[in-house]
Amino acid sequence: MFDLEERIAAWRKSMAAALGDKADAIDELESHLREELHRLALAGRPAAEAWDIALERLGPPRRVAEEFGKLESAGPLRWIAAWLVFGVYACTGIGLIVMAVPVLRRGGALEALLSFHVLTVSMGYFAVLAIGALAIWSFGFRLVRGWDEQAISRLQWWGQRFSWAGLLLTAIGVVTGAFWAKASWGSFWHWDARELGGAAVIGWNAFALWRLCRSGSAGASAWVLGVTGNMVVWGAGLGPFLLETGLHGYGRTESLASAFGIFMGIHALLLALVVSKSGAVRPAAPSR
Amino acid sequence: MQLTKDLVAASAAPLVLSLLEDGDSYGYAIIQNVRELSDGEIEWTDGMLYPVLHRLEAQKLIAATWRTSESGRKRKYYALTRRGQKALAEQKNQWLFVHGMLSKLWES
Repeated sequence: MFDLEERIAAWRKSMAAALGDKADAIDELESHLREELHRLALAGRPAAEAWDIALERLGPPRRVAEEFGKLESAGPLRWIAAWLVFGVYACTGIGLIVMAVPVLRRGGALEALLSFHVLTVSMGYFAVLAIGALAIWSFGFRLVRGWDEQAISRLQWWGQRFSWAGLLLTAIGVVTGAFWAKASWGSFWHWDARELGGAAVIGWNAFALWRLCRSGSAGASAWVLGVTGNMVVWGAGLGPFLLETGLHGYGRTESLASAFGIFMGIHALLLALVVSKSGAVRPAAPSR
Repeated sequence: MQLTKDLVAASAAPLVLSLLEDGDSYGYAIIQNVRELSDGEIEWTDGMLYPVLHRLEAQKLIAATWRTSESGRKRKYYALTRRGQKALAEQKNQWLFVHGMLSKLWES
């Protein structure tokens, strides 16, 4: 005697074994199965025959699970490189907080404000460097392994999140810095190189967010953004130190100038490589 | 005529988004609609549609809710989101562009 509920229970068991803890997906597939059985019954098919037809149309559990598996592997959270970068970023943040705590404890309000400003600006800048690291990683991989739409989507997904962090933290840092400057130097804004650098990083983040949030994958633009982001942050962070004058001109040293030049030189070369090779990595779409 | 596997796979997302543009629907009905539209030429293995739906949901192009139909059957309904509408507009442009290009080539 054919017992539909018994068959469905057995089928659910085999689907659960293949799909794992995707109860929602199994419920949905069961709903589909019941619809199909109902239609076949209305068409006059005997229950056992309808069951076999419906199951065949649905596909074997292992095959369905494979398709769902592809979906998972495409997920942005499966990108190990991004987790590594995120781990380094989080550790840096924790380290900076640990360093800032004694200052916050012993210092007055002004010193606390300055510590908070340094912490937020640093983490904002590091967020942009994280995007740069991921973009360079992604470009290197795609150069070797060829175009992969899902990999670019992952870069966009992580890029968006780091950009938000970069935008918000840098903005908070610039604002708190402005209040500190007002209390210490008498004015919120001095058109100083470091202040302009902070504004440039905010502008870069806003542009990157706009670009990365546009639907559709744009590998070349994500790569270019990553490399230029590194340059903007390096310029904003180290650039003012190289100036002889200005509120943040703390004294130029040769080693600092060399580090600045080497970093910028490497990134200029990387930028040229990205611009020249991105077309080769991704087959060019016909222009309208 | 049988469409190649690649073409069927590539057209799955725009087909689903286009069908949902006309109103909310659920997996089984979407498959039936595609069968009717293609006069049976596109034969999706039923279980293959659901990963596509879940991918579109993860991309926030469609949103899902469980509802009970008048017949008492539970169904997971999908609706096009605003982001989905934008993606569909882009897909339309791209498919029409390719269609136009191939038409020009084959008519000449």
